[in-house]
Amino acid sequence: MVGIQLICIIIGLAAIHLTHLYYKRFYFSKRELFFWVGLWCIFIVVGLFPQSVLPVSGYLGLTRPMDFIMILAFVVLFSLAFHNYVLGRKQERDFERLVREIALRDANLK
Amino acid sequence: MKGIAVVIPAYNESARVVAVALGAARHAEFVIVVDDGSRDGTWKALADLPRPVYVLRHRVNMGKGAALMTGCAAALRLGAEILVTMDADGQHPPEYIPRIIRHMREKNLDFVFTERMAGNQMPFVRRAGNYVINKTALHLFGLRTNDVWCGFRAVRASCLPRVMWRARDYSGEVQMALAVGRSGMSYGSYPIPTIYDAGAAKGVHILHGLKLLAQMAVWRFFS
Repeated sequence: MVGIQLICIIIGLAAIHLTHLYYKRFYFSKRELFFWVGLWCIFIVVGLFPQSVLPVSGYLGLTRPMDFIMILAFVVLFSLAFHNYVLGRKQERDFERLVREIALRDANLK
Repeated sequence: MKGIAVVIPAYNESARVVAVALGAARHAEFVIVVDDGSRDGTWKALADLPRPVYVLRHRVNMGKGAALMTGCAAALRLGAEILVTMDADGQHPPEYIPRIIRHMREKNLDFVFTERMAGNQMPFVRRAGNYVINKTALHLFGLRTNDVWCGFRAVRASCLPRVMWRARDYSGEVQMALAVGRSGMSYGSYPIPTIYDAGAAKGVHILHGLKLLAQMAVWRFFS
C-alpha cells in the first residue's frame, strides 16, 4: 500500500466519523448521513483501487485513472465552492432582511 | 419642516451623533438615526432623545448602505416626502438642510447632491481620491457632480425606488449616486463647507477607493 492510499483511508474514515458525529448532534438528517457516508465510502474505494474507475475514464478518453479522479475532484470542488457562494449570499440577504425587520419593528414608528 | 425626514446611519459615534441628531431635529419633521450595531454605547446615548428623533437599532453591524436602507424604509413608513441623508460624525452641518430643500424645491429637482467646497482641511490623498472617483462616475455613468462620496444629500421619496442600492457597505451610497446618473431624473448640487476632523475619519482608506473603482466598472459593464 502506498502512502497516498493510506492518507485516503485515514481522511475517509475521519470524515465518516465526523459525519456520524454531526448526525448524532442533529446537524444532519438520516438522508444526509447516508449521502455523506456513501460519498466518503466511494472516496475510500477509489483511493484504494484507482483502477476501479478505469471503465469510466476509458469511456471519457482518459488514459490514466488518476486523470479522471483529478478532473472529478476539481469539478466537485468548483461545484461546492459555487454552491457555498450562492448559499452565503442568500443567507446574507436573509440576515440583512431580518435585522432590518427587527429594527423597524422595535422602533415604534408612530 | 413638514414632510422632511433626515436619515442618519451611525456606527460607533456616541461622542457626536447626539449633537448631529438634535441639530437635524431643528430642521425636519422626522430624524431617523440607525445605530448600526455600534459597540461604543451609541444606542444608549440616543435612547432618551425626544421626538422627532426616532432611533432604530441594527443588532449587528451590517454596513452603512444597509443602515441607510433601514432608515429610508422607516422614513417611508412615517410618510416623509423628502429624505435627507447625512453622516453621524458631524461632517455635515445640519443648518444646511433647509437650504438644500429650498434649492431642491426652487429648481424642481428630484435629487440634490452636496459638494464639499475645496479647501485645505481635507488631506491631499482624500482630495485626489475624490477627484478620481468623480471623474470615473462622470465617464462611466454620466454623473455630473464633484462629490460622489459625500453622504449629505436629498431625494424625493417618490424617486427613491429609482436609486435603490444593493451594496450593504459604504459603497451603497455611491451606488445610489450612480443610479441617479443612469435614471434620468433631475438632479443638482449644493455647496457645503468642508468640515474635516481627522479623528472622526474612520474606515475609508486608499484600498476602499481602489475597490470602489473596480466595483464601479463592474456595475457599469456587468449589471
